[in-house]
Amino acid sequence: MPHANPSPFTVSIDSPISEHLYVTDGLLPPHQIERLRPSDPSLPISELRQRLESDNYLFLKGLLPRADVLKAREAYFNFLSPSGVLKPGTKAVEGIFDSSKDITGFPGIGAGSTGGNSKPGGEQAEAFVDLALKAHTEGWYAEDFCKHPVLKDFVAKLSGWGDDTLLFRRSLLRNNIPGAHAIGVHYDQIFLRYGEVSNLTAWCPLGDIKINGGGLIYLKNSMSRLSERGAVLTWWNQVNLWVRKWKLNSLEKPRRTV
Amino acid sequence: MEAEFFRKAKKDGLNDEEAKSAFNNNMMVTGLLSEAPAEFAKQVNRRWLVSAYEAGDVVLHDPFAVSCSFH
Repeated sequence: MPHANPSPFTVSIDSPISEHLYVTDGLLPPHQIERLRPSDPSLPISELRQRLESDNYLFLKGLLPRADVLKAREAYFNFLSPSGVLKPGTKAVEGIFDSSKDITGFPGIGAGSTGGNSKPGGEQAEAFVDLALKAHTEGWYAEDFCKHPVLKDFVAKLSGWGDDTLLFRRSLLRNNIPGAHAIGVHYDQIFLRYGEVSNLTAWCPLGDIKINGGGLIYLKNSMSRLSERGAVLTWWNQVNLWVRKWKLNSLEKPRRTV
Repeated sequence: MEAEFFRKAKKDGLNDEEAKSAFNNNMMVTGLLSEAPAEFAKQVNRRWLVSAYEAGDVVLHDPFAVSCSFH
């Protein structure tokens, strides 16, 4: 597959963004956007920790071997191809949508395209969604990709959790066809209500994504102060739909999960 | 975010129960905070951080990092 993006670090974080960036409610005006700060995984671990703490995120360029990621991409699209999603004559690894098809037959999962994350209707859509869900338990994903030693080892080092680092079995393998429903504004604790707050999410693009190609975007300074995190926990307690007391001291004592 | 919401709600004369209910009503049926990222950024007076990505890139984020994606 062609190398669609400029090389790591050749784009200055301060360089202007010329692409038009559309979100669900229209064009994002220039004053509302900035570039995500990339980090070289070989920087000193103390610097990387500091960035994660201050920014809520750590954007690691080229952490995983490109070939391994593309292998998972190829396997994914091969797996989905019986649904007719791919353009005839194209390679699975390219993941090119057959634009002669109606996109409503290929709804993304986990992006809230339907209320309560229920399955969207229609026979074609059901076949596609079934495959997309089943992909989560295939060996090339659940074993080879999700348990990639480079990722696990890096997080073990970064977090200081070492050999106690645990991988959540929970993951979301999401596709997003051009023009399909984009994931709305969220933070992951919404979906991890019973979980400790000291986990990390690894978002891994399975291929190259242009700046306006549907990759994740992050809110700057989402919640960088502990007082605000405390407020979130307090709020969950107040709402208390799930009758669970949060362990506030877990903010100081990170648990060992990725 | 919730803290700001409650401050505003109090200022507008809502009691705790009403404020909770109002916040819940603002959560989407899908569990999302909003389906309108541009309006959302304006409301909370923050910017969206964007990037191109390459196969092999990984973004680690904590459970309070707020994100969404392009249409």
